[in-house]
Amino acid sequence: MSRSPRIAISGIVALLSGGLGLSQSYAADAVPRAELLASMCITCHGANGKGAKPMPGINGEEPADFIDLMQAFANGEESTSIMDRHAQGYTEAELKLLAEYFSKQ
Amino acid sequence: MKAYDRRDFLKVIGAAGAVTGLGSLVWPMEALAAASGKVVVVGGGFGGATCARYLKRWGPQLDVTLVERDTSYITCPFSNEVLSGNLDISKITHDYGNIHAQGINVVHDEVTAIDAGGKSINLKYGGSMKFDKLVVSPGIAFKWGAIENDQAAVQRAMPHSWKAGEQTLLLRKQLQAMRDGGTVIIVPPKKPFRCPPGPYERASLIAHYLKWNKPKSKILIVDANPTHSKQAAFHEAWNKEYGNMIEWIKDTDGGVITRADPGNMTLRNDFGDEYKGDVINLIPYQKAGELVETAGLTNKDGWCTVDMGTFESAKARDVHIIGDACVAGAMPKSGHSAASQAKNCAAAIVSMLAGDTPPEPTYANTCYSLIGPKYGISVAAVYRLKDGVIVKVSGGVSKVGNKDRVHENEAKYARGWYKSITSDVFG
Repeated sequence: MSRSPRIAISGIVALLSGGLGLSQSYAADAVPRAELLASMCITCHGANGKGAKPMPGINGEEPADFIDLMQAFANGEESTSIMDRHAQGYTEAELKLLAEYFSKQ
Repeated sequence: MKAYDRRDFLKVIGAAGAVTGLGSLVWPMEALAAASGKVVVVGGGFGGATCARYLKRWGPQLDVTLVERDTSYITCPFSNEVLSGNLDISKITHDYGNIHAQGINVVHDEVTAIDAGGKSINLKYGGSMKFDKLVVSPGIAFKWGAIENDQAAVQRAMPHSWKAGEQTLLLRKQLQAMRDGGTVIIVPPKKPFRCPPGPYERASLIAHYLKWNKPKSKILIVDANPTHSKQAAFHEAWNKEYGNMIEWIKDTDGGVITRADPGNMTLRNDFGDEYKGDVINLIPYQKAGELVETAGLTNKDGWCTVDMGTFESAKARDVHIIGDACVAGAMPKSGHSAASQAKNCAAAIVSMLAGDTPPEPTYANTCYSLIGPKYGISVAAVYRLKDGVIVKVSGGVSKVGNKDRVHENEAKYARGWYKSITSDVFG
């Protein structure tokens, strides 16, 4: 599942296309990982993470606050009925992706 | 990136290279960026409906068709609240209007055959339909004969109520008609089955109804399994809320039912002992839905083996199988699991049709069970793909000894979960 072949090919195409600036158009993934990750949260936290009462909204937070809260759930510093069990499942890099994604919703 | 993706990609690059300098580079670039093609999704439950919606969300140029036999869908989640009289069945009934409004073709028809090689399906009324990618989310079928007389027994005398609808209402009527002091017997099937905590939530909510209406009654759970889902949390809750009203009999204590006699409302176990019930809920042993079995897509156990990252069938290329019907490693057969698999499957299909590599999979399950209107428990987990198998990386069940406030909150969140997931699934 390595991405490197595609990156290498895109480099070649960039060279071939000789400064037409077209390589940019397919730099984006068809489905970015953040979209897929975020879709797991949306199931309970509503469209775009905007909340579905009593589930709180998780959108529009400062990314640092989002990450801090998730890590506090994961290590038990913040009490929760269920979010510890979810938060422990994600890496710091994934929490960053989610924090960035929902901060813009 | 799979070999064939790379080949296809190089073909496109070749075409691009050939026209370099002619100013025609834009076309192949766009072809790479956007997924196109026809995707047909069969089955409009938690898996299928979610998959159709996310295919369209992530691949707006895709031609997406959802084929579903019925014009409305009654969810199994919260059907136990219909049984206990807390909810009207209309509250758990959903239609496909919002899915149609999203630009998805919704066809109400029954699929009679899948021609994987010819990339088409046959419909009962609408002829045949071609596809580039097919997603099948057929749910479960019953393994008749695992218990003698099961098929005849569940029709009226001992309803299964394991596909929500008429059967739910039938069992509800029987509970209402039962005398105070009667015995309700619930027979969970041998694992694996849809909704592992379902029979035990059902016992809880029937107990809630009986406690307030027929308090001298008993509930027996006669179980073919040695353990059950959320066991410690359920047993703690039963003692607290219902005293000794619910009795659980495990496999080696006489729980393996081998024969049903609907005429005199008795069940016989593998020791030859008989149980007599006033109301009996016989939940049959299970396998993947008939459609995938007929199409030859099931394994020797009756379930579908798939690539657990893309959910492509091990037996048919370009046919993906999600939800209760597939073998998904550590994930339980739940609506939430099905929806989670559907999103991974949609991401994989959109990526494949765009000539891209699917994003790394991520799966989650959250499942609440109600003990009563103000007492909830849950199981939650996050999963990953490891060496081709879905494994659990975090999660667990609500703790034993939680405060009443936590139980109350979990009951509130259970209702919030239902509202939120059904709006994610059905729009």
